[in-house]
Amino acid sequence: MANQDKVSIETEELVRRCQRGDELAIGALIRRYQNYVFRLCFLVMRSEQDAEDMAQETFIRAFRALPRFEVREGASFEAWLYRIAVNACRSRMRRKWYQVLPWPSPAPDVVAEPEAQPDRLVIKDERRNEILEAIDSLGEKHRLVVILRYYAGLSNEEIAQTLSIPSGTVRSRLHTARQRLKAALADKEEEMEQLAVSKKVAP
Amino acid sequence: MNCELACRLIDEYLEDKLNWVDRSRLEAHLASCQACSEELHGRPAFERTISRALTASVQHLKLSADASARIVRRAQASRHRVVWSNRATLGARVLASAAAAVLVFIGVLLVLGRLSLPAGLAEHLPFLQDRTAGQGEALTAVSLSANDIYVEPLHLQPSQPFTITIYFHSNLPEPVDTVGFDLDFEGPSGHYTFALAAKGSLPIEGVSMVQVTPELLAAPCERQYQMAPTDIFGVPGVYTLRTTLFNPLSTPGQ
Repeated sequence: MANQDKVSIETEELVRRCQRGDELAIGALIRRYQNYVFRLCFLVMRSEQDAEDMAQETFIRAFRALPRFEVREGASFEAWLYRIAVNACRSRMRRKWYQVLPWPSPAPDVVAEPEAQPDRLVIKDERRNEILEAIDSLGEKHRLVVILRYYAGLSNEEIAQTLSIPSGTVRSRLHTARQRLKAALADKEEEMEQLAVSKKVAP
Repeated sequence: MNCELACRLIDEYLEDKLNWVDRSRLEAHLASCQACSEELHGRPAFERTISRALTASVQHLKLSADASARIVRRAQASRHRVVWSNRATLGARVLASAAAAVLVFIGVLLVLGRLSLPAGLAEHLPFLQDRTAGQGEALTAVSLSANDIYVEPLHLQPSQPFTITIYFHSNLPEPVDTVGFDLDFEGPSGHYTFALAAKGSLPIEGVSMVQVTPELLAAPCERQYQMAPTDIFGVPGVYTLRTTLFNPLSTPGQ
């Protein structure tokens, strides 16, 4: 993944420049990650307005803490930034009145990663909505590890650090989440098959 | 190995992070269990499906140019505030140093006045010594007066153990994980500085303490001055002790 390496080296250089106070680098680093952070916040909070607020909060916290970030091999800036984003979202969500909104129905019709996966460009809307609903049905603890693992791409150890839980707990939550997702999706498939059969049988 | 444990280990197996014992046990189980074997082979495709669904559901979201510009502006402004506050501490550092207690203690055979203990002690911080002198942002929000450095026993004798106790009165905007402090000794045997640190969580408000003993100073004495603590503190006379507090995790301003 030479391309990834290149991106990673550039990010490290940008981070170093930001640490030296280069304002252009600050703008560049924010623009590079703003949409990733915004989308992650949206997945956690499910409100565009809140996600925008939390993206802003994330970068403010990140630049305050940036002098303490060590640019070194194995230290992922992305994972560090995502950790700040998720913790900003969780702080906001601890307010008693906060409720995660359901997915808009149907979820927007978008091609999934066209550059990265030319073989399977489109996930059918219906199937995607089933998956998203199944993720929502997991409950907060399991939903968060699924988002951090399968959207943010964090390792079990990084998720453990982000959520301040042991990595064994992360493994256990992921296992439970996968089992429940499979069960939920299998139920949906069964429903669809029955529906298809009943349509055929009906005169 | 049962199926539940096998399923939990599949992630590490796929990432090649299992030790050879678990790997062998898992492979033996997979060879004899069709369900787990199917789980192993189906796992990457299942995970890709979940990952693509999540990615596709938010791919259309982009911050507006206005929002983006606002975030850049605020992040830069917040950084300015940090830099400004660091610069401010250059002056404050002198004040902190002055406020940070000038304790005169009298060496061998002489008596040091006993100081009263502050009320409401919250935290006893374990001692560390891995710092560079003067490094970090001055902790001006932690106050320290002459009464907050306390040396025991009252009568110091050559080669006798003693304990220096320092009490930090916090009034911090947010908790601090490590407090760095430079201890300056001025006495008949010369001027010595030790850059020390105490690890722990300084409360936002409250009193914390750290204790320094000759044993703890032995290594830095040897490293910095090639002397034993008794060589430094064993000369009769009046010693002046000053300390300045730092947040060693923050970077001082230019």
